[in-house]
Amino acid sequence: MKRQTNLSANLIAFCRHLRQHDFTIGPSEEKDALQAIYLVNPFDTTDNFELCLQATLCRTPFQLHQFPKLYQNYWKELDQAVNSKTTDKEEKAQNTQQSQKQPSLQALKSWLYGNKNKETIETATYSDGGFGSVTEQVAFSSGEMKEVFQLVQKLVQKIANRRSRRYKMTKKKAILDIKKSIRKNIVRNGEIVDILYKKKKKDNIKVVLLCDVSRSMELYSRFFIQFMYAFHSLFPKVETFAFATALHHISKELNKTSINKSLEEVINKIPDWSGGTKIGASLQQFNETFGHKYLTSKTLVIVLSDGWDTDEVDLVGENMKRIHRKALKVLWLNPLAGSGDWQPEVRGMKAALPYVDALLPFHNVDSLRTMVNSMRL
Amino acid sequence: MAEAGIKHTSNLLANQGYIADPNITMGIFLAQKLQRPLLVEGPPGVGKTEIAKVLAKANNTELIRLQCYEGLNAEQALYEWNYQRQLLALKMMESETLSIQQKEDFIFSKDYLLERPLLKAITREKPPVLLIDEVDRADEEFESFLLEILSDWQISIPELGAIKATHIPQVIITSNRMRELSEALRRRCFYLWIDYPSFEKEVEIVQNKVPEIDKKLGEQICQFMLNLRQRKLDKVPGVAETLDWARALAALHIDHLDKKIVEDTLGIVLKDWKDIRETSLSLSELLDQVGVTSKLH
Repeated sequence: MKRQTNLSANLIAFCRHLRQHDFTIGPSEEKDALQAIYLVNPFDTTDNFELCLQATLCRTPFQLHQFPKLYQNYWKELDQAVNSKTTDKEEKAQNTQQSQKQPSLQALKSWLYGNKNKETIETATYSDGGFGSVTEQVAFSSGEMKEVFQLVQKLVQKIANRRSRRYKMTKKKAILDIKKSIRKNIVRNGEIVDILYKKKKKDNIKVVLLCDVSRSMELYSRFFIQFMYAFHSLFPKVETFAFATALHHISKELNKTSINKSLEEVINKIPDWSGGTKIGASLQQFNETFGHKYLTSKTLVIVLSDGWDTDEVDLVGENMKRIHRKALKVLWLNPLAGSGDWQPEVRGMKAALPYVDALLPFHNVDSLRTMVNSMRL
Repeated sequence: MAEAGIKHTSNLLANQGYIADPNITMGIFLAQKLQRPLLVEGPPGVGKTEIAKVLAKANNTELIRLQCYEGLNAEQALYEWNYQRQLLALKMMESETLSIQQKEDFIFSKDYLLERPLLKAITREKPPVLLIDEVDRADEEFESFLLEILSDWQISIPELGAIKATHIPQVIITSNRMRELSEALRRRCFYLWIDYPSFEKEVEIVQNKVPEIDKKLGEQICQFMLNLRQRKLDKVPGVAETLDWARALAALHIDHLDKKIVEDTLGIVLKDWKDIRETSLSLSELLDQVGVTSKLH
C-alpha cells in the first residue's frame, strides 16, 4: 500500500481499505466524511477524528465493531494494513479436510455417480414401520421423487398464498372500500354509484432451510437433499444452509438443473458431511453471518434435525431464541419424531423446543404429506 | 469553532438531562449539520427515542412522531382526505350552481386535507424533529416508500400537486433490530448504536434524572442492574427500567437495597414471569455480587 500525502487522498484510500472489509462505501459516504472533517476540524484531538469518520462511514453494528481495529491498522500500522490474501497454510488445511472426508460421504458420492445415468434414484429413507436401522432403508423411486415435488409444490402454494395485513383494490366483490368508493363518487355529489372493493394482498414470505447433515442424520440426508432440491426448483425465495460442525450456505449449489449436479456440488461444498454435530455453534454462525440478511418478520425458518448436539447446549437455546424473535415462524422437522414413543429428550431438542412453533415428524414421503396438510401459516 | 459546535451540542443534550457519550454527540452534531437522518439502533430501553425528545426540547421545536407497526401504509404516514367533511360540504353546496370542477377544487383543498406525520413534518414553518420510531416493525414496502421521502423531501398529492419541504426536518429513526433494515435506508442515514450504559454512566443518569435518590442507593441499583443484565434473561431491562425502579424506591423513602425490597419491587425491573421467577431464586447470590450481603443479616 502506498502512503498518501494529503488528507483527501488519504481519506479516499482509507475508504477503499474499508471497502475491502465489506463496508459499503461509495462516493456519497466519501463526500460525507470529507464534509464532516471540514465541519469538525478534528486535528486537535485524534479521538474526534476517529469519531467523525466512524459517524459517517459506519452503518451497522458489525461495522462499528470492526471500525476501531481497521482504523488502527490503516492510520497507525499502515505497513501491516495490506490486502490479506488466503494463505497457503489455509489452503493446505482445506485440502487435508477434503482428503479426510467420512467414508459415508464417499458412499454418497458413489451413490451419486453410480446413478448418474439411471432413470430411478435411490434415496435412503425410513419405512413407516420403524426407526434407527440401516436395514430399514427403502428404495426411493422416481415416482416417489415426483410425489415429493407435488407435495413441495402444495407447501409452496400455501406459503405463497399467505395474506398480508395490507389491502389492494380488486374488481371482484370483496371487502367494501368505503374511502375509495366515496372518492370515486364525489363527482356525483357523494351518491355511491360505483362501488370499489379491496382484498388482502399476498404476503411476501421467504423461507430459510437449515439442514443437519451430521452423522446421526446420515440416513435421512438423501431424502432431505431431495426435499431441499424440490424446494429450490419450485420456490424462488428460499435460502438453504447445511450444518454438521459448521454452517455452509448451499443455495447456489441447489439451484442447478439436475438433482445429481446439485448433490455433487453440495457434497463438495461440505467437508464435514456426516461428521460431528454442533447445532448451537452452527446456529450462532447463521445468526451472526446471515441472520441480518435473511431473517425478517416475513421469514419462515424450517430446521431439519434430530436435535442431537455434542456442543454447548446453551448455544442452541440462545440462538434459537434469536431466530424465533426475528422470524415469522420456526418449524422443526425431526426424523425421529414420527416414532410413537419418541419424546424430545435429547439436549439440543429440549433447548430449542421453547422457540419452535411446530415440531413435526419428517422422515419419508408420508410424513412430508402429513406435514404439508397440517401446516398453517 | 467546530470544537465549540460539538461542545454546544453536548451542552444542549446535558441541559435536557441526556448524558451522551462522545460518539452520540458526534453523530447528532454531524446529522444536524449535514442534514442527514440519524438511524439509532440498540436494545430496548437505552434511550433511542429519548434522543428525539431531547433534541426537540433543546431546539425548542415540535416533535412529530410516526410510530411504525406492521401494516402501516403511505396513507397513514402521509395524508388522507377528510371524506366526512367533504360529503357534508357537497350536501351544503347542492343548492348552489357550481360546476363539478369548481366543487372538486373546493373540496380537494388544503382545508379538507388530514395531515399525517410525514406531511406535517415537511410543511412546518420551523423545522421540527421527526421521530420515525421502531421502523423495523413496519413492512419492507413501507421502508422503500420512506426512502423516496427521505431523499426528495417532497410529497406528491394528485389533487394538489407536489408539496415541497419548507425546511428539512431533523429526522431520528429508531430500530430495535427485530429485522434487518435495507442497505439503501442505512446509506441514507448516519448511524448510531446505543448499548447499555457503563456503571459510571448509569449512576450519572440516575442522579441526573432522579435527584431525590440517596447516592449510595443509586449506586447499588446500577450495580444490581449491571449484574442482572449479564444473566440470561428473556427481556433484558434497560435504562428506562433502572429509572422507574430508582423513582419507585425514592418514593418509598428507601435508602439501601435489601432482599425483601428487591423481591417486592422486582416487577418494576423485569417484565417476564420466567425472568422474575429465576431471578428471585438466585436473588441472594445476585445481591452478594452487588455487595449488599451484610444488609441481609
